[in-house]
Amino acid sequence: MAIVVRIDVELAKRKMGVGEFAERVGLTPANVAVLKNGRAKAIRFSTLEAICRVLECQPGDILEWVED
Amino acid sequence: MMKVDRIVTPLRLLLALLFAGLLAVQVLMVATFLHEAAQNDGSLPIPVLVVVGAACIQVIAFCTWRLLSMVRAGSIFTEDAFRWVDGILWALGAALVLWCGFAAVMGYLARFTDADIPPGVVLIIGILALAGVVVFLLVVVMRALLRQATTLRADMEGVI
Repeated sequence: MAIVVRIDVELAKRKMGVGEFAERVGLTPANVAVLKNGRAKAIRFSTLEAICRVLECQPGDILEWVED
Repeated sequence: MMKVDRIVTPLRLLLALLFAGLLAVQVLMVATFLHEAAQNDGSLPIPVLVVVGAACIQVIAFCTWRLLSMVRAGSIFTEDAFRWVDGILWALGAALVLWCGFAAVMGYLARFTDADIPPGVVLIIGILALAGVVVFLLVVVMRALLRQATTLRADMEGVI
């Protein structure tokens, strides 16, 4: 997938654990893992909004396009 | 979903009744067949046709039962459902072939021999064969719809 989800970078910046992040966003830890290792096929705008709210960032900070 | 659950139980009850009723008919027919075998008069093997036809409907009832279990469990939109839908189609197809053969023989007997078969009976048998084909094609359409829904469900499950 040419779109990479950079959650771990933002999490490290805020020193937030995956467990806490998952709980505050309202995702299962399994789905957070899917997002992190790039196996996600699609993401809801509502999920993206919750992630941005918890990490206090913009979608561009966590989504990145890379050449295949 | 609540409404579907409420229909599943009575529907299963009716399916079980249908299955038991057909079983009783089959037992009766086997008894008749054994009785008539002693005095073979070369007529149509009606008891055999009834037993095989009833078996086809029993297979359909069983497959429908399994599909209803999947509906209740919320797993109807998975690959496993197609096994049972295909079972229904095969059984329905077999029953149709049997029935159409019966219709052809009855038509032949009524038209070309002096067998005492009223034309109305042949017409009814033919119309039932036509109705069977309609039901078969409807199941094929529903199978295609199930395929679409299953694909859609699989896609949606990839959305986080």
